[in-house]
Amino acid sequence: MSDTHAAHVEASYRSYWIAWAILLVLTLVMISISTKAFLIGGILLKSVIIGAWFMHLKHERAILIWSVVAGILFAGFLFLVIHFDAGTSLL
Amino acid sequence: MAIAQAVETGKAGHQAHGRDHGHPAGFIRKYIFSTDHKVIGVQYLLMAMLMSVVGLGLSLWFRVQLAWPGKAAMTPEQYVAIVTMHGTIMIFFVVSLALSSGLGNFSIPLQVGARDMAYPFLNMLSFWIIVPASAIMILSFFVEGGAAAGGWTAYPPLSALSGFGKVPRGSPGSGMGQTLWLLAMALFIVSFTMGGLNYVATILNLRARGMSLMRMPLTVWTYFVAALLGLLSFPALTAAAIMLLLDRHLGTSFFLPSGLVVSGQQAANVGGTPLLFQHLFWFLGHPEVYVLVLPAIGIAFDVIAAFSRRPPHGYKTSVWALLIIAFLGMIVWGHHMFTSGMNPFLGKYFSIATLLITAPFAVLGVNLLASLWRARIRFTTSMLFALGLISAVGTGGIGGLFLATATADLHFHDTYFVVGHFHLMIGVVTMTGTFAGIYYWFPKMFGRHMNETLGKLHFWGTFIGAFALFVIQHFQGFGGMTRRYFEYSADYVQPALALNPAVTWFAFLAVGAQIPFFFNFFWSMFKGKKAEANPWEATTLEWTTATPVPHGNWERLPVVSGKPYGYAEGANGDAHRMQNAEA
Amino acid sequence: MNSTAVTGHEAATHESEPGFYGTSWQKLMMWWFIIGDAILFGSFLAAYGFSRISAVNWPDRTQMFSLNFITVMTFTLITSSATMATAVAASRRGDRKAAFNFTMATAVGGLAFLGMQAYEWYHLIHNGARMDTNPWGAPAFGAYFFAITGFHGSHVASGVLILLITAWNAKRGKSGPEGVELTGLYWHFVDLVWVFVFGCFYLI
Repeated sequence: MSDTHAAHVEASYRSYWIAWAILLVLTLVMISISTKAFLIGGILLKSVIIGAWFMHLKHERAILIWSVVAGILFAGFLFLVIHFDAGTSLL
Repeated sequence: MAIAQAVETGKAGHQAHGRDHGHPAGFIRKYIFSTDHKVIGVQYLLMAMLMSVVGLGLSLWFRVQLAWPGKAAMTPEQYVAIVTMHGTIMIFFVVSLALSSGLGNFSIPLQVGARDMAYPFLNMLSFWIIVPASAIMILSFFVEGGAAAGGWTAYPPLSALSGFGKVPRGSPGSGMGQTLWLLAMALFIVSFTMGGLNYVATILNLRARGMSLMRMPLTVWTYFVAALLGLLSFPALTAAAIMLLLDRHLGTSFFLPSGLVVSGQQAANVGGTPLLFQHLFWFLGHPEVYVLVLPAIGIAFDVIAAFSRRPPHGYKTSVWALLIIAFLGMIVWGHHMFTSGMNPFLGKYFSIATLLITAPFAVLGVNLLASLWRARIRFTTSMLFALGLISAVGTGGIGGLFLATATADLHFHDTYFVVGHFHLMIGVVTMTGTFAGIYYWFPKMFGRHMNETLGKLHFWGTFIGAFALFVIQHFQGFGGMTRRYFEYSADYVQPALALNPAVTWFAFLAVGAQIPFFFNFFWSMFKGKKAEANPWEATTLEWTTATPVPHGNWERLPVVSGKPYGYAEGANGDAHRMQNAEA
Repeated sequence: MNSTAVTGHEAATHESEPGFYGTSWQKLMMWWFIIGDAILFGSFLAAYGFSRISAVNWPDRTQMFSLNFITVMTFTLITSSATMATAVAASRRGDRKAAFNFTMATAVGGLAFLGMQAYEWYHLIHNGARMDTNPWGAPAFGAYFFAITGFHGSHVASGVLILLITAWNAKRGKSGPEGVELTGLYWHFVDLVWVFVFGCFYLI
């Protein structure tokens, strides 16, 4: 265990709790606003923070990041397509 | 030279195998609860063969009803249940098991040069989850009301009207049979997901040294793409199945619309729509087609390369075509729903996107064909099946062009044109690919050859029977014959109906042709001609190890030094270079 | 020769090299499982959005829920995610004791979340909400709410179980940094899903 490694670990400790603080603040901001666009932005920002810091995606290869993004995009595409049908459904 | 080498290593392998005491040698650990990918692959194949007896038997039963109404003892309700179970069993428990799980398990680690799957225990688990899944599927015939009768797509409202609690009963098969169907499918999805994770991890992380992605055999590429597609698309069906179960048993209205009246009884449901289920189902359903079809094409590439003694034409373009097909395959599911009341704007988009898939598919088809160009073809049974596959891909693909066009599909939807088309693709293409693979790898699996005469009998019976049967169904579809009907009375459909006895006879031919195959398979396992380590003089890694393959596949893992298809082009057609040959 | 063959196979699962993704096969599998599970929740939420747009009389959530209570639930889960990340870092540093403590703290956070969710459900059911009825408006909201939070809750519950096993194994030294990290990935994913559930059901 070299010094740089220990320093890296200390830095990651700190970054986790900074991420935690940002997430808390974001949550507090989100419950006090009602603009849809901002709320969606808040959700995406929070998920990026969790993914990048807590799940270490920041340190992974681009291909892993893109695999995750692709999965989420496919699910998003599913919603994008079916929402066109929402008004036309037999209600 | 390379053969001599292979035989030498083969002998050494035999000796090592003989002295190989380090492994659980008991029958149960070796052949039943085995974690060895080769044994698991064969177990899947046997399971698929068992289920195919049921699935094909059902198809003959309802073919008799169609050709000679009244001659097959069944009620209309039973007819729908039989059609449903035929579809489900053949797609998920025969083709998926034999091709994706069976041959995939056997070939992937051998072709990438790994000792086993990444997580052998999980692999064993995925097989043993399939066993109860198959049992539940079969047992659902014998519960009250009979087996599921909502079609293999399990569309609500029919599939949601369970008759439990406040929910009215849709049809006899909508009761317990449909619940068991969903349960069996849930188990299947769990197993298939675990298998897919194993495939991806094995292919990406356990490749032999030197086996770069662009040196992988096309079979491995297709299994890789299929596994990714499965992992990305099956969750949507899981979500739909959970919601359907809640609709059935807890009275929710995810898929059941307001104002539904069932047999004069007003249902209490408010605000759902079957359209939502269709979207979720086909988000899986369409990629699933590629999950099944692509590996068959990949196997055909390998088989054609070995028997035409030429590298497949355009390796790189095939790989890129596969990736593009995978991407497009995820975003075109709506072409199954042109007549469902979907937003017409979406129909336009889905129509165009689907027609785009033609391009990469044409690349694959042309590459398959061009691989034969000026080749000195060895017409083994395996090769015949691979050639049959090319033909079926072409014919089936042309039908797809009609159906992808939204305006044309308005007429073809739910007719026998669709039945003929998808049977050519996920029936004939997949099964010819599977058989090509089985005849090709059988010597590696059991150390013996399958009988070629019986094999050719099997091929011609299957090919002529299946091809005639499904091509004629296209014309019946043109004639207005609709799917899932027990009996027809309209006048306009009479000319199409006249073809039914012929179709049924061809069905008997195609199914009957499987009898020599079954006999050949089990007879050759014990009595077939002994096979060398590399009987086909093929060049991919599975042929570099001994036959029968020792536990752990290689004594020393192979080191890959070149392309997967080291067949010489030009005059000296028999020369070839193994993928691990020293440079 | 015999020994090489045997050790050769024994090593079958340990020969993995960081492949295309630059990770071990275990982590690769976990990630692809997470991607699949994300699409599963994505499908649920897409269906929820579909019904949300279609349905008339969507309930006013401020009447149904106490937003402050939900915020506390969210805090709990986010905090448990932070302790989990710390546990992973501790385990990587070789500090088994800290890894155990922080993993246990995460499990306690998960249990607290489950308790609060149970209270939330009790509150709604007590006021007449069911899978097929919803006194505040569209019944579809009740159905989606119970189905999706229930499914998420089952992920939390299985996560707590995995956390306890990991903590126990980490203490005995059986589960190294890799094992703790895999558990961590799953736990963060559960947290990530909650971000979406929280946003979609209570805010938007």
